[in-house]
Amino acid sequence: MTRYLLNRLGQTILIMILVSFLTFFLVSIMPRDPVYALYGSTIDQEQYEIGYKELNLDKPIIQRYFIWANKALHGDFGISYKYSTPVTKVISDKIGVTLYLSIFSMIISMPIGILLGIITAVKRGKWQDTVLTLLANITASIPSFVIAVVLMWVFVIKLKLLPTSGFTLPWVDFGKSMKQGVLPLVCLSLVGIAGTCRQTRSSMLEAIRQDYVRTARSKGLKEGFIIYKHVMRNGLVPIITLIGGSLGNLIAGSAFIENVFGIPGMGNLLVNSVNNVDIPVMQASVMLTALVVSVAYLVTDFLYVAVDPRISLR
Amino acid sequence: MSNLVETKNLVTTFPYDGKKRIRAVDGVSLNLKQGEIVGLVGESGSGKSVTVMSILQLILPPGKISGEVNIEGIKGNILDYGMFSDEVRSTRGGKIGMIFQEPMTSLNPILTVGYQIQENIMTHLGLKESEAKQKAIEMMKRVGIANAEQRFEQYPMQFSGGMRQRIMIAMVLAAKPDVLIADEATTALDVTTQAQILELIRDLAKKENVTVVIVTHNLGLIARYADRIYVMYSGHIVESGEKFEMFERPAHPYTRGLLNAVPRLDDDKTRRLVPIEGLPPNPANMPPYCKFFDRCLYREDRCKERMCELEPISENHFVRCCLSVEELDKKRDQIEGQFKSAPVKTISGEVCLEVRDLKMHFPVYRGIMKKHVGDVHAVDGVSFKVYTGETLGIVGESGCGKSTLAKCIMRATKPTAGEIIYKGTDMALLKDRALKPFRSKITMIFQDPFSSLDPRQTAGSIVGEPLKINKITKTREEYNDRVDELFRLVGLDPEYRSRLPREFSGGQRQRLGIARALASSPDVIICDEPVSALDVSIQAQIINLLEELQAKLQITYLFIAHDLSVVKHISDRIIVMYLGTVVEESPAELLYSNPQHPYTKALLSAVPISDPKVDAQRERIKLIGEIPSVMARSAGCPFCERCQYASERCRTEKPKLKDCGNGQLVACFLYD
Repeated sequence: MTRYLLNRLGQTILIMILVSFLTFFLVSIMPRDPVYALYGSTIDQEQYEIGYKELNLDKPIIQRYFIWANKALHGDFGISYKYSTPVTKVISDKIGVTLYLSIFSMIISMPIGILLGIITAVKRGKWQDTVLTLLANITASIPSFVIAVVLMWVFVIKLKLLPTSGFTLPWVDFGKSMKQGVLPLVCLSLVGIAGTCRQTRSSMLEAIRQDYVRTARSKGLKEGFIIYKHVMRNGLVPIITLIGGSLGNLIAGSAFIENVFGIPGMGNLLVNSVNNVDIPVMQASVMLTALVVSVAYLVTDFLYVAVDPRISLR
Repeated sequence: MSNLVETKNLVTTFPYDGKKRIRAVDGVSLNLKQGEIVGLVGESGSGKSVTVMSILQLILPPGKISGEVNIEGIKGNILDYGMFSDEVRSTRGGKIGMIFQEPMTSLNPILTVGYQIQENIMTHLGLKESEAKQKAIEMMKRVGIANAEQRFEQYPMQFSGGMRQRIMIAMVLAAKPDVLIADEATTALDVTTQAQILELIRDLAKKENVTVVIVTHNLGLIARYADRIYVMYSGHIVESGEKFEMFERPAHPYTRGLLNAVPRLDDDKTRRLVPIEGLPPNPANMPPYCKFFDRCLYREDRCKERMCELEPISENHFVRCCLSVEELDKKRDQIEGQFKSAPVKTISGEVCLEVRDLKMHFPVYRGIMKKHVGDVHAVDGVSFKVYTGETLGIVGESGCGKSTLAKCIMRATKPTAGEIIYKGTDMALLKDRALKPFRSKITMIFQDPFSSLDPRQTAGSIVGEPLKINKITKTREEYNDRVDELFRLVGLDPEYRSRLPREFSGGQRQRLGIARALASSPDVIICDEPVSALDVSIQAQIINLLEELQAKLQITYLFIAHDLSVVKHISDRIIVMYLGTVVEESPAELLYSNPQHPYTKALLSAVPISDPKVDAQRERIKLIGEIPSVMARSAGCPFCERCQYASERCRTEKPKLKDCGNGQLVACFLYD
């Protein structure tokens, strides 16, 4: 078991190294010249030469990668071209916002989605199942930004109940934070609920028709207890894998939502950094996102071991 | 003695094709008395499992159960209480426990076996958790699980199939039920494990005075273990009675037919099996008269007039047939006079195929770096000869390497070492291109008639494919004629050429598989468990077909199976394999009458004979433990750990096959 976990940890580190390679090389082949991106396109040849040296562009790309990676390992991702402040400072302002949105919406959507999924599976074929599954399918097939725009139109423009944009963290101003945050959170959660519900339903149905459930019935256990003890744990094992994946999805999805609601988060930052050729910010954001997602997958796998004995025994 | 459980006119229906409902169980009345072992026997689809599941109300909607089920200690018809009621739940597990067929899937994989036993105890005996744990460990010990305290905490995947069935027995008996139902509980297990499990059930049941219901398709098991028998056919009980009475004087034409259809270990070589022709009626289209009518050799016009009832012909012997026993017996002599004896075949002195010291080792890798940590010696030095026109049987339990051996001879895999000499050429290590001419001469019939045929190819093109690949037929007409001929050869109507595999029954599909194997006029056909997936009545049809084809075409068969009775019936010589090596080679007749190797003896004695009188007189040799892991092989005799005669020499030195007269070869130091 420990070996399995160490193994997975090793894999995660390997993945991070590969991601860092890819980000660095992909960004470096972008068609815009980083010197002009940093100093503007009006500089003369002499200034250009200085900038060129300063950015180590005269050195081979492999060497540049190692210089960058070495600094990155020490927490130094360089200076943002656009904001002229350290990248870590730029990102640390934004990451909290995105993580807050993603994690909060996951806390909302996971239990609700799983609960609805269990209800639809247990009540299979009954009206509860028909209604909930239909709603889940509709929600899952509409892109989240469309939901965002519709909700905004109804609650902000027509009913004028909520503010249009902006973002405040709850520990700064709780009331304001809730008012500004409710729509983005609802948008992000709805999609999560629908997806989780559908997955839970199918994996619960898979578990319900297994032979061991028949064995459990033949022992005269109560139906509710059978669902709880024998079906649910087996049915939820595949759902755990979803948690890791859905955190990745949420961060990606929040790029849209942040744009619609004008929230200064990571999604917004990443899109802007691409537009502005803010290479250090781009590299750092990609690395950070990859790290968050990898860690989420790692935690998922650790949870997996805790729930399913078959994995650690293998 | 009063009845513990009694069903009256039990009917279980399932929806079919919209509004129609089919009757899987069609008016079954049976009773179970304290302490007896009852056999419920029937082929697949006869409704035997549905019957026992209906008693426990384990049939889920849209299935519906009606009729009457009375259980001692519960007032009135238990079906009236509803499947989720407290009364029904206390019956399940508490009064009637059930063991299911699939040991691999019947236990919850993510709960410890201990918990799963404990759960049953806590539900029905109302004990506290710690007491229940003590009781569960005690039960595990009683069913023969060593280190029960440690194994209590283990998960089902850490147990072998036989051990999981033991866990199931412990789980069921822990709640002190009155009745234990074993629904095909040993079908998926090897014969020696099967014997161990059923003996355990019988011994524990007799000790605790528990009634046992053995649900099975295997007449031999019933003959050995049951006291009283119910025979089911298409949802009906067609005959019931005491074991000895039933096997000595079977009355119903179906029971008589079954007994004629199964091969027995003590069969004469010339006996020809008498299959029950045709198929059971489609449940959606049941005739309003006797359901066996279409396949019955005894039928008369008056059988079609009404549905006959189960009526007594003597005390405790009931039969559902319009004809009286006297009439049936009179007809029997007439019918059995027409039975042919087995077709005569000729075996030439020419060696058709010879295998010398064949080895197939599979490397085992571990870890991320895929380090080579050892080899599985699936086939470890096998040698034999087969003569043209002969059938060589290869028997052994699962994991003995018999299928790997077949794959090597087919050259589906390349053996690690050794020679496979077909008519003078060693083809063991030939390259693909050089193998081409041999491909059409050695063909194969597979075990599973469902997955071994391409579901989207028509029957005609499945059978004709080898003709095209090997460029045997030149013109379109020649091809069509040959395919028609092959269909007729295996007893299928050439009209069926354009049908898809799913439109055929299991037996017919196996005929297609045989036709495909015959297409390229092979000299050798490897039959890998060709009948083990078929019902007994169909099994006989296929065995007879194989025998006829051999007599007609002088084909050589390598017949691989785990069912000793079948192998013995069809083979001329038999080799017995254990963990990749041949432990004994013997003419088929002598193998049963004069087995040499201790493993052969144990294997034979584990196979019951479907005649309780004969079976009761046989010597029983029990095997210790289970087949060891494929990775851990001793340096000596592979069988030494389970052998009661094993000496120090057996553990250090590997015995070689030695001739001990009469054409028998044995690898054992006892005969040195």
